Amino acid sequence: MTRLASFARMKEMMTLHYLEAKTTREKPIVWVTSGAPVEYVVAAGALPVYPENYAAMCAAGHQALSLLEAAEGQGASPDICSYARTDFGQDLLRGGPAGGLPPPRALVCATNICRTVVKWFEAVARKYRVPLFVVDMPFLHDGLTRDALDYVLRQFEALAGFLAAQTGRPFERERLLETVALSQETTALWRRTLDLCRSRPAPITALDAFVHIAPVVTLRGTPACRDYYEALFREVEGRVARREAAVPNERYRALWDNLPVWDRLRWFASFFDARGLAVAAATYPNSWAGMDRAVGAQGDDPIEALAGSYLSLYIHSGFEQRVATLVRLIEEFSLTGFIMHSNRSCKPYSVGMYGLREEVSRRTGVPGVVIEADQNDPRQFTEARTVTALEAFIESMEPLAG
Amino acid sequence: MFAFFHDAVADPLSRLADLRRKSGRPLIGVTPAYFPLEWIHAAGGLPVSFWGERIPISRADALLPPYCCPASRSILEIELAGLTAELSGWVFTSLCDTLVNLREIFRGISPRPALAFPIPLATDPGSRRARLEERIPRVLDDLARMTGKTATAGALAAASRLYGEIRRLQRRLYEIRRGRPRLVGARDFHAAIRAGFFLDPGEYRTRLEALLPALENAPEPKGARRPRVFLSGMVSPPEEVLGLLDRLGLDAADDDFADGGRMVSRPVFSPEDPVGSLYRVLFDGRPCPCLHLPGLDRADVFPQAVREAGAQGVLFLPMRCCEPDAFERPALTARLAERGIPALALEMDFETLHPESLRTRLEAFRDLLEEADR
Ligand code: SF4
Ligand code: SF4
Repeated sequence: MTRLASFARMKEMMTLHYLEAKTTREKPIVWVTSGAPVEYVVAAGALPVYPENYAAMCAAGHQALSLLEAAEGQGASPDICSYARTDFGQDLLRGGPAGGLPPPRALVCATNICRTVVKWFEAVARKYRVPLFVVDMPFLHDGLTRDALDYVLRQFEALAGFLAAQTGRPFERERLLETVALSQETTALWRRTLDLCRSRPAPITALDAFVHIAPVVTLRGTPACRDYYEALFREVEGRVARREAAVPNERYRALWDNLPVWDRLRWFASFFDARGLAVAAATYPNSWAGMDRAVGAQGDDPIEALAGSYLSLYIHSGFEQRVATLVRLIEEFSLTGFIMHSNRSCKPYSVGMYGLREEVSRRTGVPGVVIEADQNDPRQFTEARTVTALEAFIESMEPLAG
Repeated sequence: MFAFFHDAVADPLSRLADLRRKSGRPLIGVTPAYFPLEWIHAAGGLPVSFWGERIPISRADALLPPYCCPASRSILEIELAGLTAELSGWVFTSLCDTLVNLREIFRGISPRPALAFPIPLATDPGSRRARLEERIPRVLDDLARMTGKTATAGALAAASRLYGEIRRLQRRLYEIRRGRPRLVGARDFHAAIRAGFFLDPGEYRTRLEALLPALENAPEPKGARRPRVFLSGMVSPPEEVLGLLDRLGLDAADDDFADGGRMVSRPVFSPEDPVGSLYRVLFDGRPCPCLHLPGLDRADVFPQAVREAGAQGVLFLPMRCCEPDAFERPALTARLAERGIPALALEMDFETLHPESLRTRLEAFRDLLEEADR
């Protein structure tokens, strides 16, 4: 993994965030999903807490397995998303790096990543007897539409009312607009940082991006988060200027599709480093990149742009759009191949992946590989099988290697 | 009494050509769940609903990973195998993540149109209603493109009456079973319900009309009292499993399958109150884990449904890899345990299922219920 000075700052930010979440008396805790319009929660003066992010932290710190087992011991089915199972486990054992999440006062979830989160948050609402607000975002089979925007905008209005009821304070639109502006600045900086990987050699890799994603997922809409991405952008830009490579002897450049295998990030990084493979692009970190420019949103209304961005997530789009995104990334980042993580936990990301691989290869002429694993459940990862698949993949990229 | 229904569900795929010819209507494949079938009929089509077939999976493996449920995999398999060539199109609801994406796969592999009907999940009721209001004419337009015929107000009213009549008859069948579960075995019962997915609705109605009085007048079967169970899951299990329940002396008194009790407990669409009735079609009746119901927790009402059925225990028959169903089971089981209602869960995997392998656990469950009844 690339050594970045920003890493220490990010760790500190995340630690402070979880510390505040565990100790705050003024701010009501609102659990949110990663695709929820968190700007409303921040603007309402509540403190958002992301169980998905916490689950990923548990896995990256190799603490997920015991949490998964604890949840399964209480009846959670291995068929459900391992983020949810990890969350149920941390709740039972008060486990993970922060010693468990603070209990929620309310829950906000959005269906733009999956419908699974509705079931997950319903279970949390049942346990803590707290209200749940679902922002339903229709799947965009054929791109962003006016009716989808109207449906979401109407729900945003209702969300403001819901949050005002939870905090006991009127919802301030001015504050929302400030938060949205900060969020847009932050995600624009994140996009520019990711776009720096178009350079050869790539200054950082997608595996680094997976690590540095935490603040933009968790704290977007705050000045500290914007400042952090400003600093990160400058640091990565400096690396590009100095031609500092993330991967020594970069020879191949690939894309990673789907969530990472959190507890194997270092393993993948070493494997790719040893073979000169820079994972220069990924679809997942882009989910929080460039929320300042929703395709199809009309006018200059920042709330409409926000709704458009949340609706237009890669994972929430029809296959034609997904193929177009993959083809664009392959071209723009001069990639020699793509890796698709068939993620047992995440059906919305993984269903249809085999077909997408064929279509993208057909259109671009670059090879793709599908590896079977799970973002948070280490029992689904088979090292030998993965090595064999990746070795063959790297060999198939040889004719395109730089 | 049930031979006709068993015949209708025995090999529905081989009868599609016949059905199309006899009805003179384009056949529209319907995936799970809650799409108003009366819309298809009003648009001049004939709906045939697929809930998962027990066929070996070979082609679907290349497109849908094994961690997807057997229902979705088998629906893809029949399409890829060309067994659904008689269909003029498919309709999909946004029931779960798998189906939303399966529709995208179908768009890539099938020459036929695949209509999408998103079921709103917004907590805000105003947004939900506004969304339904906006969607109804669009979906009807899409259907018209599929069948070549617009669903007029008159056709919608006629279809609503026909399907409403069927619903009434199906509910009566449920009532008879609840009252006398011994009389109607699980295998026969679900054949009678499922047959409606593969028959012309007019004919189906006539057959149900003939069945119900015959059942009502039938004498009570002799023999000792048998334990009553409530069956729960996304989709009713294969007929071999239902037959095994009958043979082992477990009387199914009621169920909440999406292709059973959940469907039958819902009203049908009414053109007189399009938004209100569609709202009820989707969100009233037995709660479904795939649908978010603000203010209603399925776990709170589930034990009551079991009690009302006079069931002594619950048999969960979850489909492998069905996430929405799996999420709710611990809460349901816990609520049942609080009330002293025993439950057993047996995973249904259409792809590998050997019903006889369930025998020992089912016998033990039956013995437990008998013991508790003494
Ligand atoms: S990993 Fe996939 S299924 Fe799980 S919460 Fe995230 S988007 Fe949903
Ligand atoms: S069985 Fe479950 S996962 Fe499968 S299609 Fe039905 S709701 Fe979706």
